[in-house]
Amino acid sequence: MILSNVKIVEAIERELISIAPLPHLRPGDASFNTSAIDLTLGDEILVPREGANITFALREKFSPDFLERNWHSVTITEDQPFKLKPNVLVLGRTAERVRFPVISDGPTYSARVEGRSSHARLGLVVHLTAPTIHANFQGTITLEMVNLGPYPLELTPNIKICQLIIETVEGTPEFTSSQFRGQCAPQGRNG
Amino acid sequence: MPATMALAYIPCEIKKGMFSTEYAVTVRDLSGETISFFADRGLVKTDDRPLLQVRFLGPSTQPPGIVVLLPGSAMDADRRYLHVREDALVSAA
Repeated sequence: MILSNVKIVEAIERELISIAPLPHLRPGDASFNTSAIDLTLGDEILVPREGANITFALREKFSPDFLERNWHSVTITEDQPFKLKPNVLVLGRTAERVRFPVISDGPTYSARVEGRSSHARLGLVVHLTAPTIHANFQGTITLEMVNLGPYPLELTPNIKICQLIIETVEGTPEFTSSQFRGQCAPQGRNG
Repeated sequence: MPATMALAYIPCEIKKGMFSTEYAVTVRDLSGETISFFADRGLVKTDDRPLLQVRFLGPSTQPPGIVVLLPGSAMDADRRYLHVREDALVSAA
């Protein structure tokens, strides 16, 4: 079930989820749509290094080193926005940190990241194939941004960049086998 | 405060991440297999040896040890839990 703006605020107030910072925690605030919450762009953009003659074989084991080596970080400001050219992929992050804890005796939530319709008309894609924020996630949300439009788009910090649609997870997630269900403390105690 | 699963820490290796606010984290399974992913710096203690914040899931019999929930998906294995030795688990208290 998708949460309405009222239910999103309730879930934050009950500490079932966390999204911060938010300017105001009111369903009628500009950050909230009827069934989603807008998140804003942080000030760090990762850009692929140009001119590198690189091929990554997908059969190889994933290497964080490979990504760290071949991308560089750019800090954006109001005065120094990042100009995202057509058909270029960059990575960004939301300014807000989110937390979706797995709660042993209560509702658990997950979320999906979606773009904004106004930006979509300009050709901006904000996530690629990985829109789900799973239960137990904690941190800022990484955005895989591509400009599929005809002209460059300027990215500045704090612009509304994506929306988060929050849903209830029915039942307590089971991660391995049923022997762990309901256990939430060392030694297998409920607590 | 709702009852979330207990926090714990496990040893990890860290390197610089892609974003300035994250580490590239590598953890080791009971089998010796290494799993790597990016984690927010707030989830890693670096006081002495690096320790990654995880959620305790429970004991496992096959293989014998402890199962913990990782704070993100392992990017090379698409899994979110890890079997570790019981004595590798560090209490969050």
